[in-house]
Parts: sequence; C-alpha cells; structure tokens
Amino acid sequence: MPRSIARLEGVTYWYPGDAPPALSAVDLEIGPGLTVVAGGSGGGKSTLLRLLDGLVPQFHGGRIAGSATVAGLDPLRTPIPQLAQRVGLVFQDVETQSVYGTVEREVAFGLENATLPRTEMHERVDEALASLSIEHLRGRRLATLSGGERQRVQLAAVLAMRPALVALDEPTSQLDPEGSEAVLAACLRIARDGRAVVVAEHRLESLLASADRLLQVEGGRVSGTTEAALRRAVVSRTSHSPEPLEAAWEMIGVDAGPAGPRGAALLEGISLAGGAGEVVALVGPNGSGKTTLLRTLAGLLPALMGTVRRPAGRTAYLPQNPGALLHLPSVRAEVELTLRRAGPAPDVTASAGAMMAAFGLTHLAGRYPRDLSSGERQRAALAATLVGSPALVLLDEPTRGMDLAARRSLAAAVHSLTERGSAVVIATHDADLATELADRTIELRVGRAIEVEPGATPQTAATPPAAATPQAPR
Amino acid sequence: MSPRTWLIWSLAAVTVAVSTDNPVYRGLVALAALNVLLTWLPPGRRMKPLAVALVIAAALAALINVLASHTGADVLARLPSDWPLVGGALTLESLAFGSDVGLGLVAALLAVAPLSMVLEPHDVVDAMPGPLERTGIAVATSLNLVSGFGRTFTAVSDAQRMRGWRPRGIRSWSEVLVPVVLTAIEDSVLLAEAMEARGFGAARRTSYAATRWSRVDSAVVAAALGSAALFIGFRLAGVAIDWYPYPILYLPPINPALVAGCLALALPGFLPAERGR
Amino acid sequence: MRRWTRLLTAILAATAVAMAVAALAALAPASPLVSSCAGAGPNHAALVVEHGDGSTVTRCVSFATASVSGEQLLDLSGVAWSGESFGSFGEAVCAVDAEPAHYSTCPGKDSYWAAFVARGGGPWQLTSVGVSTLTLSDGDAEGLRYVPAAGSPAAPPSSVGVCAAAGATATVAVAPTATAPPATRTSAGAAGTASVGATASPSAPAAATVSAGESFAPGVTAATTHTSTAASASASGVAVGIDGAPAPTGGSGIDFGLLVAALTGGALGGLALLRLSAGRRRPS
Repeated sequence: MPRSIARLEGVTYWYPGDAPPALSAVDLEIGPGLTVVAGGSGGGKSTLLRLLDGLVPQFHGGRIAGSATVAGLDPLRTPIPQLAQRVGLVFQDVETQSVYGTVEREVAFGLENATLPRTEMHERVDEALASLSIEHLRGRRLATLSGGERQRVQLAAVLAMRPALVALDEPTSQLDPEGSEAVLAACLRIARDGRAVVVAEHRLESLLASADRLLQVEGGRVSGTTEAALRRAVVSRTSHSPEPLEAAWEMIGVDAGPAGPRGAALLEGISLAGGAGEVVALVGPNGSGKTTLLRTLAGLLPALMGTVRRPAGRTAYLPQNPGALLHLPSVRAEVELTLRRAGPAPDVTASAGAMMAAFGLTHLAGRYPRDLSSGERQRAALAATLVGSPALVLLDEPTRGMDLAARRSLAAAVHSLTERGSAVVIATHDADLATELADRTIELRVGRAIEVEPGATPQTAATPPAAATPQAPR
Repeated sequence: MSPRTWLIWSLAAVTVAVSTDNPVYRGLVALAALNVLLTWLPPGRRMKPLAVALVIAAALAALINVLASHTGADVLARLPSDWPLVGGALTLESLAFGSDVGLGLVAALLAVAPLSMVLEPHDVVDAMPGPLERTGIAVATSLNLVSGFGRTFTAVSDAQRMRGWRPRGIRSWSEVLVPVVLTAIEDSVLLAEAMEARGFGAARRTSYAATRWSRVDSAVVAAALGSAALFIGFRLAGVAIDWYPYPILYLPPINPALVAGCLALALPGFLPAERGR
Repeated sequence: MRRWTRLLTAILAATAVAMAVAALAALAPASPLVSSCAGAGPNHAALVVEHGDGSTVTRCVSFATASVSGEQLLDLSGVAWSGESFGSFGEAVCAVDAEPAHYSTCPGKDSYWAAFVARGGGPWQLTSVGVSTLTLSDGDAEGLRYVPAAGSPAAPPSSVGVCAAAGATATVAVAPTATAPPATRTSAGAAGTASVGATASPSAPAAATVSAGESFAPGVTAATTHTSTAASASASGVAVGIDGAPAPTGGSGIDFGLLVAALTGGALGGLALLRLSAGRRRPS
C-alpha cells in the first residue's frame, strides 16, 4: 500500500467574500507518483493545488473547514516557509514567477530563504539542474530562455528544496508544443523518482498513459476519474466546399517586424491572401513571428515594405494575453462597449446576450471580469472581441488555458463567423485546433511563410527525445 | 567589482553632482560616469533609451528655467509681459542656469545608470547591507516586472484600438491605462505568491554568492568616498564652489583640487572590465 | 598595442582641442567695456570713495562712450567692490575694498554704502537709484561713503580736481587696492585660483578676503565681486601706483584651474567618444 503524502478530509473552502465555496467536502489521498488533475476552468483545480502548500488559506485568506495533512505538516496552520521545504509549487505564468535574472541564482532563491549554508546550497543547485538535465543553462539569463526552458528552471528551483510533493498548475499553458513536451517529460521523470507530482492541465494526452492517479475537479468537487473519460472527443471537421474565394485580405511582399540578429526584418517577403469565410491557421514555434504577422495584418504595425489590404468593415483582434484588456465592471459592459464602438447597432443588448450565451458566459454576465478564473477571462475577452460582425478576425493563441467546453465554444463561434462571411486568421500552437477549424495552414519558418498540409506537425529545429505526443485520433 | 562597490561609487557620484552647482564640475562628473558606464556595459545592452532620457531631462530643465525666470542682463528675446509666468525677458543667464540644472540631472542619471545597466538584479540584493536586504529584493524583483509593463502597454493599447478606442484627450486614456495598472497589480500579487511559495518569509536569509572584495574594490571605494568628502569639505569650509550667473554671465571658478576629485570618480572607467559575470 | 596608440592619439587630440578652447576663453575679453575704452577716451568722470575710518580713494576714469553707468565706472576705476542687485533699483554697493569684510545683509543694518552723484562739478547729491542705473557723463563724479545707517548721510570729500588733467597721475591716498588682478570677472570663488602670467599683487588677498569671508548660504543671491581689468586701468590713463607692473594688454593670463578642467574634460570626453565609436563598430 503506497504511503500517502497528502491527505485531505472534508475540506471546504470559501474565498474571501464569495458565497459558493471554491472547494466542497474534498476527500482525497495523494501518494508518490504522478497525479493528473483535470477539470473545467474555474472548477477549483488551482485552489486545490494552492491548498497543498498552504497558500490557501494563509496567503489568500477566506474561510476553511475540514483537515489536511501534507508531507506530515498541517497546511492550514504551519507557516508557509516551513511548508515550502516539503511542498513545491510551479505556476502557470512564466514571467511573474521569476525573482532573479539568472538561472543559477533563481534556483538558489528558495535555498537562501531556508538559510542553508553556502556549500550545501551549491550542492543542491547542481543536483537540481542535473536531475532535469539542464546544466547547460546554468550561466544563462532568464530573459534569453524559451518558455519551456524557463519553466524547467522554475521546476529545478522547486526541486532544489528536495520536496516530498511537487505541484504544477497548468505549467504548459503558455508554451509551444516543444516546450510543453519538455516540461511534461520532466514531470514524468521526477514522478518516477518516487516523489509525489500533481499536475493540473488541460492538455493531458501525453500524461494520461503514465498517470498513477486521475482526478477530476468540477464545481469544487473532486472525484476520481478514468482515462477513457478524459480522452477528448474530437470534433470532426465540417467539410468546406473548395470553391474559389475572392481574396478578402492579402499581404504582398511584406517585410515587417523588428530587425533580427542579422539585420533583416523578422518577416521577409510575406505574400499571403485569404478569402471571406475562410479560416487560415498560422503555426510555428514561439518567436517565429506569428504575432508580428497578425499585428501587421491588423494595421497596428507598419509594414517596412510591401502592401497590406484588409476588407472593408471592422477588424477584430485578440492579443496574446486578452485578460489584460478587461477593465469595465461587468462582462456584459465589455461586450456592449465593443458593439457600441463598432457603430450604430439595432439591438445592442440582444447581440451582447447572444454572444455571451455562445461562450457560456450568461451566468457570469454581471461579474467583474478580472475576478474570473483565467479560462473564464479568456472567454470573456473573446466574447468582447468577436461580437458584432467583424469582416476580419485575427486571433493570437486563443486557446491558451482553455478547457474543453471553452474550446467548443470557440469552434462554434468561428464557424458562425465564417458563415456570416468573416475571414479568420488564427495563430496557434494547438495542432488540434488547427485541424478542427482551419481550411488552410501556413507555417512560419525563419521569417517566411510556407503553406503546409492541415494537421501536419510543424517542423521544429530539434525535436527533443521526450515522450512522443500521441496524435489525436481523427 | 563587487556590487557593494558599485553602490558606494554611485552614491558618491550623485553626492558630488548634487553638492555643487558649478557646471564645470558637474560636466566632469557626467563625463567620468559616462566613461565608467561605457567601460562596464555588457555587450548587447543598448544605450539609446538612456541617451534619450538624458537629452529630454536636460532640455526640459533649460527650457523651464528660461521661461520661468526673467532675471539676467543679456536678454535674448522678450515675451509680452502680461502673459502669466512666461511673460517677460528671456535671458541668456536663465538659459545658462537652466542648462546647469539639466547638467546636474544628466550627471546624476549617469551616476546611477550602472546600477541597472551593469548590475544584475541579484547584484543589487548582494550589495545591500543586512537590514536592507529585503528592500534590495523588492527592488530587484520590481526591475523584473517593470520590463514587462512596456509590453503590456503595447498589447493593451493595440487591443483597445482594434475595439474602436481612439486617443481623444486625457480621459480616453483611462481605457488603456486602467487595464495596464490592473495587470501590473495582478502581476505583483502573482509574484508575491510565487515568492511566498518558495519560503520568502520573515526569517533571516543566507547568501548564495560569496562576497568577494579585492584591492580594486578598496581603491575605487577610497577614491569615490574621497571625492565626495572633498566636495563636502570645500562646501562646509565656505570655499564657494557654486555658480550663480545672475545678473551677468561669467566663467565659473575652477579649483584644480576639485577637478582632481571629479577625475577620481572616473577611476572605474580605467580598470579592466570583467566580462561574463 | 594598436589599441593603446589609438587611445593615446585620441587623448592627445582631445587635449589639444581643450587647450585651444581654454586659450580662447582666457583671451576673450571679460567685459565688452574693455574694447570700448581701450585707449584714452575723450570723456572723464571721477570716483571718490570714503571709507568708514576716513581714508579716501579717488580715481579718474576715462571712457569713449557718451555716458557710462555708475557700475561700469566702478569697474573701470580698478577699485574692488561687490554689490547686489535689487530689481528695478539696480545694483547696490555692498562692500568696497573689504569694508565690510563680512556682511550678512546688504545694505548693512549698522552701516552701509551710500551713493552720491555730482553733475558737472557741482555739489554731491544722494542718489535714489542703484549704481547700475546711475548714468554719468563727461565731467560728472560718483561718490561712495560708508555711513552709519541712522540719520542722513554726509557727503564724501569733493570731487573737484580729481580729473584735473587728463592722463595725470591720480594720487592714490591709501594703498590697499587690487592692482593687477586676473582679467576675468569672477564670482566669490576666485579665491582659490592662482593667476598665471599676471603679477600676483600683494593686495590680491584683499580682493580674496571679500569673497572668502562672505557668510551667506550657498544658493542665495551671491554678491558679485567685481575686479576690473588691469588693461582698462592702464588704458584709461590712470597710473597704477603701487607696484607699477603693467598687466599684459588685451587680456589676462590663462586661468590655471580652467586649464586643468579643460584638459581633464577633454581627456574624459575623448575617451568616451572612443569607446562609443568602438562599441558601434563592434557587431552586436
């Protein structure tokens, strides 16, 4: 019988000021090995993970009932610095986790807090870097690393404390496929070493086969679940008749973007076009220029050379961190703002209501958008951006942090937009989304755009020999 | 050079720049600090934002003074006297004095520039004496966050623009600034949470980096403190080291000892810079 | 090795430039009045200064323009004085020849310098304007007397006869005035600079004490110490009595401090330019 490292009994937790509890009567046991936590956005996954290292309730406040033991300590009462030596937590956002600027010091930060003597600190840093095979990153500055590398550095920082339990809250949501693979492979590795590893994720396929335990968190309730239930049903592609479309937007011989290391612009000689009602997917690794291309197409970035033509009518643009643009008191207000700005509309309230319903936000219509969970915020921002009838829709990583329900809403919204004649361009890492929705796929490689087969895996510079990503069954 | 040496040098240079308003000394301090910065700047760091900031600061100081102060014997131009604040004679002396103030700002900015352009955030932490260490960490982590604000601002203004926002007067900017500020606050909270989760509490901390102190550090600290002491000493002794160009412009008094003091501040600029720290 | 030669060349070039600038600055006339009064002019005005102890200094000053201000007259006379400006009133005299050696207010509370003007050889009249606003033409005289603050001030000795003969040697009643001071109009800080080239006069400390002794807070309106050009003194026909050493015409010697500063600034600037250009050429 594997010993349990964490045990929760009857835990119910309310965030400060909230009426419905974020966690309800949670009973669970976590032992060594890999535990995968799945669940819809806003369901309580993040809260559960933060409970394990005492951030809930000690950092966030609120009320709690029930009892918990993690690695022999009581997370409800033990001061967090003590818990931090037994439980480690890796967060979703890469940039707001880093304290220092260099890898070595970042990994040592927790050790400094634990007032370890210097020789032992050096030893542990070496050990942590070696356990993830990232010694080659030792002297680097964090800002020069890719997202996947940075998350692994954060994981090493946690491992240096030699914790009994490591929790990761959606660590790959901002990463491209290569980075995600690397991070999840690292999780598997440390799980096999005998630690308890708890990973909350939406993109689970690579972990399902190796998971020792599967949990579903929905509406604050935690239950065990099975692999079959978690395997996503893929929405089959609706067939598009390949009729010749008139180009609604085009870029001819466009150079754009900041100068790269060799002096040439990031994007060179881009010539693309798309038609009304057509969905074009833009794929490629982080830093290849997808955002630059979208911004140039939107007109936010002047093209250094060439011409850009947009269709008449409104262009909708969803940036990479869409939650950042929300600031009005309610979701409804945000959606209505865009409608009113777009021009005189017959019935703003009804259109707004319809949009929110399409994204499953009706019950959240009156809530302050920044209070919502990250997936809910994503949906709110999408609703606020796509409302009305934009002629051109540009989406930059729309599925970041989204759960299955949200992805379905997005797919449905895109379909209805194309049916009304909008041209859609989506920049995404998500191969499944591209397969589902795109009529054409363009890959950005070394500043040039190449048309590829929809659904093909984009070529990357070096594929790490990590666990193979299983292709979604068609 | 040890981070603590940098801190002491910067403070000494700022003290000198502030303790006198003689443009000759301020100019020399600025040149000394510029040399130091150029010697120690890591490859690939761009000077342009700093240069822009310096030019703006100096130009603004000169402009404000020439418009607001109307004394001086050499009149360059006249504005109608009934204009509020700016009405009256625009004189060479007030331009000169304003430029002097600008020069002081430039010197002070160049003196503190190495703290952010040469040092890493963890160096700032290492430089702090024990009781101030947590302040050092706050400064270091905020440096990390601040670099993200520019990107947030661009992203938010792009997105709002596409939703139909146009900059139309001050009040309309709230639609961009409020989300940026909110995002900044949230990022700070996320960072605080992450730091807490890694044990950053009230207890004492040990230091990963060994404090290294060499003869070079002693020399630079001695030179910097000596220079600051020299200027303060001259001021306290009543030997006037100031320059007040009213009512008529004249060449500022120059004391060779104080010139030597300014040169002492340039010492780090003549040392071989260690790269790849 | 090449790097060092380049460095050295840059420093030498910058230093040469700096020295040229310094020389030009030193040679430039400190006051535009020098050129206008170079050579004996047709117009004369007298200056009479009576100190608190009764000693008197008289000067005859010649000028080429139709009129000069009282301030310019003082400058041309070679008397060391300092004053303070008071808006539309103009410049008030605060100290002459180190009397008072220290002052905290100007005009002083106990005693102050009263200014008089005598037009065309007539009697003294108390002026109600500052010396900078006062204008004097040929045959006028300016008087300064150090008087107690209370009561109506008595006039200084008569100015008749001071300018009796153009070019005649004026008697210098009491000696201690600066005779060959540096050319530049300096503020109270010239104390520290040694003058190179000009004969250091034994009375230079007199000028210096005025500045070193001033006990005002830095940043407050500084009184400007006016030291006149020795060149103008000789040009105006007043024989410099005591040591007779003529100052070099056309400007004073090079200020040592200025030279040092120019050299240092040139070197540092040159180095900075060198580093900037090296950085730009290096492919980043």
